[in-house]
Amino acid sequence: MTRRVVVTGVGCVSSLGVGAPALWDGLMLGQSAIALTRFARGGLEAQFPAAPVRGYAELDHFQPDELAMRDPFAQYAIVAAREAMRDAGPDNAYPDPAETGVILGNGSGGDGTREDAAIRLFGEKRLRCNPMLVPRTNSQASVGFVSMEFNATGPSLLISTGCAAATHAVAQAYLMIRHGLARRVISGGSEASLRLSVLQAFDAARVLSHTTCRPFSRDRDGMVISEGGGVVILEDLETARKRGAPIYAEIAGVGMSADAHSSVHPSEAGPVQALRGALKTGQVDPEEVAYINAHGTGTQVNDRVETRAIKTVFGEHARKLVVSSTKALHGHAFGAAGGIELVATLLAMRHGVAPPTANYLGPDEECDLDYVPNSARPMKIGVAVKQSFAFGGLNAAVILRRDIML
Amino acid sequence: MNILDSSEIDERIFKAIRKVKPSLESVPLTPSTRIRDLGLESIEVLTVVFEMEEEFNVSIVDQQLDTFRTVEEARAVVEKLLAKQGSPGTGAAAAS
Repeated sequence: MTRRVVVTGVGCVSSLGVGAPALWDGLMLGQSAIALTRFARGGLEAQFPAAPVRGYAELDHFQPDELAMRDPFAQYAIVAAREAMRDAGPDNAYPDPAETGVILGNGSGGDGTREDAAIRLFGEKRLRCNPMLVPRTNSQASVGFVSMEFNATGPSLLISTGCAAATHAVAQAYLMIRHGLARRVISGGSEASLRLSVLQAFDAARVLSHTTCRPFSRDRDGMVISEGGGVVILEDLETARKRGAPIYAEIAGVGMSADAHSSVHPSEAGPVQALRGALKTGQVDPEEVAYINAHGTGTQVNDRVETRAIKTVFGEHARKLVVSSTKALHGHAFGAAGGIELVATLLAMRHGVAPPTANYLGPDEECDLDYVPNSARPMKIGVAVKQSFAFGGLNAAVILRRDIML
Repeated sequence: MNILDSSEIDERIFKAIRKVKPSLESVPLTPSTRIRDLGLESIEVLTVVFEMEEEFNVSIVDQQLDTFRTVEEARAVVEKLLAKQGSPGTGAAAAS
């Protein structure tokens, strides 16, 4: 059995605000959510450029009793999933709960709650832990809560491949539907790791910017961490058409690869292999691709290697397609990044506008493609790519096609 | 040593319960309230015991004393532990 897979709903919590419309408005306005932010824990403090979720109050979305067990990373997944399910419309086409699965990504589960527990345990020397610590911090908590929220009893799992997690999750969701294990999957990712311990750890690896995130630009000096959740509803084309659901795009193909080279230094070959794999499984001609939503972290090495990989895969066409990284506007949300950016890509296709790469100062010698600098650009986007890369050299790419060819 | 009186201990046990389940704020709790009858999941019951340990700065689970069913029985355990350690029962949580 091979089914075709389409996206019928999107939902988002990001530093640009709660809801997919807030994300889109933020991208179109081009005003970055990044600001110098103070982080203090356990008697220590430091300042970093960061992009915390904006306009979010947990009691707007949850009952007080629900908060003890739900770390913010799970909350963001649930809130984004609710929006995506509403957006996808009436779900009476799915009477059997076993036909709906949940496949989400995150990098590190309840990092914030673990930080609090570590301060208590090792800092305050209090040996007893809160009994809810494990179920609250487990990486798969987001998947469990979303499955409960929608009584989805189909295949459900958590993908933990760091910054590529949400894109890998969507790839798995696509495969599940394509091969008949589910008819509908709630997919994407969430993350809430904006904590002093995490920032210090990334800063030690010299990947954090101390100014702002300016992907593909000259004078770029690193990434800026954010948080949030990005969720999409994937379902089989036949059911979506039968129930008259508005379709954002078809998932034409997916590709995945490992660099098998270095934990921290990306290779060109890995992203090339993932991208080519997606084009091949999707039977997409590279010249059809109009827009790539890049991983584009703003580090020297990522943006250089990603640019090279795009040139290798697309050849001359790399000069015609456009590439942008929306991370300059909403920051790098790690395991949520691929979800938030997939939502951005789907909205770009629907609205016919490529979101900009903000904070762009000018071309870099090795980053010389059209990155849609600083201002959104109206254009027809028939075929788009969302790609994500993670530490460990793990890569994922998803290809979206706007026009459904029957 | 000035040990807490019964009603104060009860109030602080109620506080521990309501910390775990804020919606019980509007539910009247009494010494005879059975903790398992409050609609708590098993992990929430464990967390009530944890919050009591925090509240009174005592160790209940390690001494296998978490067998109480009612608030009254919980109070007896707390009183016994406070008397044993000769502490007025101002735990970290109570002090904050």
